[in-house]
Amino acid sequence: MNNDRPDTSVELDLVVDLNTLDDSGLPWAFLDRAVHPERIQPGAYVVVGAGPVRAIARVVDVADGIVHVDPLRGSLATNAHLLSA
Amino acid sequence: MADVVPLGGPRFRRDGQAIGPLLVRGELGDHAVDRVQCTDFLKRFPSWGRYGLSTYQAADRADVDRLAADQLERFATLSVFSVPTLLAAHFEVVPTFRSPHMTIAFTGSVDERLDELLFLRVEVLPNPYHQE
Repeated sequence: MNNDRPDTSVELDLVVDLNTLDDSGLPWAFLDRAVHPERIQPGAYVVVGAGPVRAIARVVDVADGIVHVDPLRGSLATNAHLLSA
Repeated sequence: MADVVPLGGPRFRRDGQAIGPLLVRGELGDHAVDRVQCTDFLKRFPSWGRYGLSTYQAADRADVDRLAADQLERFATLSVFSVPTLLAAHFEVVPTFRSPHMTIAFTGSVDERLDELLFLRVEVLPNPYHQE
């Protein structure tokens, strides 16, 4: 069991409620919730989450102001190598 | 039974399965975050006219454990709700999109209703499958 406090020092690229799901089967967010809109491109790996939650996710698509992301399993540290510098 | 998709609304599942009796959601409790999530749902599905929060239904504790390990693995804590309690407090519990996703929907003052929702949580659990 991991009871460590979440690491919220990692800056978000896109605010996403990772509880959400729509007909795509993936979490979604409005593009205008992006902290770094220039990074929100299909295929890019970005930091997503809300509040204390952080995950690295692949941007699946961006259409009509909606972004779908596919969060990766595992810790931020495990997946950090996927992020662009 | 065919699903229903109101114009500009979420897809409601009509799979004939009983709902609940438990709902699980990751990390409820940060009012500002929850407020954004409720209002974004209404902004995306305006014709339905409700605020909404995403949750996942569970039949029992074994289901809660499976959700903790799968869909909700990214959350350090999980909030558990009782469907009958939510319904008694005039929240709607609606099967939406893909099973086991459920939406807790409501109208009225978003701030007051979110406070009510927090009060109605039956349990907050650490997620043993979560990795920072």
